[in-house]
Amino acid sequence: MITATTPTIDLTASLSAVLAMKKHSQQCHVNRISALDDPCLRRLYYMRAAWDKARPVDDGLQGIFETGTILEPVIGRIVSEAGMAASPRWRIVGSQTPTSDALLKQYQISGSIDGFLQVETAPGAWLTLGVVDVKTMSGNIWPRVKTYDDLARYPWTRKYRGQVMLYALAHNVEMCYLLLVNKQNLYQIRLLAFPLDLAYCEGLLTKAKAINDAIVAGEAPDGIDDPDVCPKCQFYSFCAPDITTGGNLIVSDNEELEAVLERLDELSPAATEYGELEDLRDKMLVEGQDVACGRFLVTWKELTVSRKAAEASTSTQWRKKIVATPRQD
Amino acid sequence: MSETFDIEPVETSSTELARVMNEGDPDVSLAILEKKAELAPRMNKAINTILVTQTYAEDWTEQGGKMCLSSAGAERVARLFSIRFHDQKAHKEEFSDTTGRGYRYIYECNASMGDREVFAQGAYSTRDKFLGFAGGEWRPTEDINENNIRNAAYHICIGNAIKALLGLRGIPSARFRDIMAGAGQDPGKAASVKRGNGTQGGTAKAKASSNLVEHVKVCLRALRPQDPAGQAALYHELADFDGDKGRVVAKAPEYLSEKWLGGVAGKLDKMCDENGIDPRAVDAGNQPDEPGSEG
Repeated sequence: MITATTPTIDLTASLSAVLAMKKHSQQCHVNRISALDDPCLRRLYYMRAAWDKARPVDDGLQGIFETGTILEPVIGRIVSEAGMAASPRWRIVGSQTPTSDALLKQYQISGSIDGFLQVETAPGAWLTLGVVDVKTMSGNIWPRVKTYDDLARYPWTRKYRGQVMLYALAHNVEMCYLLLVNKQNLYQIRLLAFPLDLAYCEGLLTKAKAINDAIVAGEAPDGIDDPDVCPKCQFYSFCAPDITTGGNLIVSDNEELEAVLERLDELSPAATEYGELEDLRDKMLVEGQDVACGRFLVTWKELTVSRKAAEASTSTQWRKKIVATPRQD
Repeated sequence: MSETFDIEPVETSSTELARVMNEGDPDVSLAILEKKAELAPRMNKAINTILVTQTYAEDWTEQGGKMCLSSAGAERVARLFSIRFHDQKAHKEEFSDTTGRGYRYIYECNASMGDREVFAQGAYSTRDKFLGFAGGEWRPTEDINENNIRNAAYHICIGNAIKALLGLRGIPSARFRDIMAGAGQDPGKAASVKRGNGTQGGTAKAKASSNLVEHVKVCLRALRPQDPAGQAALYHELADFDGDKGRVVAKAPEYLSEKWLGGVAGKLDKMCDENGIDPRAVDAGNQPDEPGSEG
């Protein structure tokens, strides 16, 4: 029985204390492979020249990092079992092998790969296909990252491309693999394969050189000054970038527009009910089955619709969102 | 104490440091003002809409009948507009008080929207309670993550610029309650701040804390023991300065700003150090014996 004297358990505070012990800022003397595909040169510079000025990682993000660390061996076991159950068998070997490539050293680039993907070509004979990096993703993100192009969707997944490509360059292999794991269901794993793109790598090497030069000069290079990116950066306050917020809001004196919006708002409850009733009606009707009900007659006609195959295209659309505040009169 | 990057220090009207630099061309401004006057009721309605949709009651702090919007709330509002932040600068000031050494970060920036431009400041110190005080005592400076102090000062600066640009400062409490209650939000969730036994340090224009005042007096007594006139002379030697309109004579320590008196305290600390004086130890020895005490 809980009484007035029962001590309360502050779970949030205790978890926060656990995470606090795991937060470390580490000095970084090299360009980390995992970060180099960052579009902001200034951030990459600060990661080396002002690593101790980074805003502390919040508990939410630290928790995600820790979850990934805890899941690593579990995923390793699942992947190992899956590889052995496959035909031909496959496996990941050489976990956390540090890069020791002379070219990358020249550009002060360093990192450790998750492993090499190998396939069994004959009993006991394994062929290395390429480098592989294991990435865990939330259950919301995982279904959306199915192709190489999908990696461009999120700022953090963008960096995966350059990361594995530089690993491939360092280990002199031509294929890059990303093993994408759904954190919500560790048995949902997707293997993304793409070839090493030397032009892409050259861009990363150029970026590394620019950072190295800036370190020598002691002068931060230009940043991206992006109002969507900068406020989330761990160096935001230290960098204090010149940015312009992206909105364009104006206060409109268009009374006609206001009247239209007002009327739409008034009709909105009826529109909602109308839609709900349509859904209900369609659930109760059977396709192709004509019905006479009260004063209504519902008949069906079968239509065949043929559409020409269309080329995939990308277009820009604007989606409006209208929020109405309560009337104050 | 848990520290996360989304620190939201308590902000009050005393931390709202900003001034308008440019209102634009006078003729254009006049035309705009006339138009604004004509549209004032609609403008108010639009601003209410923006505040109601972009801020929460918890973003606001009430002080002396006026509402202060937190920088987090201000930054949320700013996302709707095209505001340029530029010429941003930061510096760190170190100070001493009876608690020990501390520091504050002061950010300055210019922000512009259309023709209107403002200059804003934001300051945050290790003597601000949100990060600097825990378990009933001031935290040692080394236990406070300096990046959080810097970050808080920066966000306050950005927030002040936004509030000055958009006219979101000093909204009367009654109007705020009407706006929020009308939108179905609970205005009672806004925090209330009482002045008086506030934090030490803080903003550059905040009145000096009682601890700092006491520290200055202790140092003066230690350096000029049993010599009130000498103490006063030393105080004015350190606190007075030559201003644009002649010599500025400092008022009593209680009436000086935190920044001003902090400077005096720093000089006194240095003098004590140079003379090998521990002000608190010496001052304790100078106190008259308590009635009934032994020895």
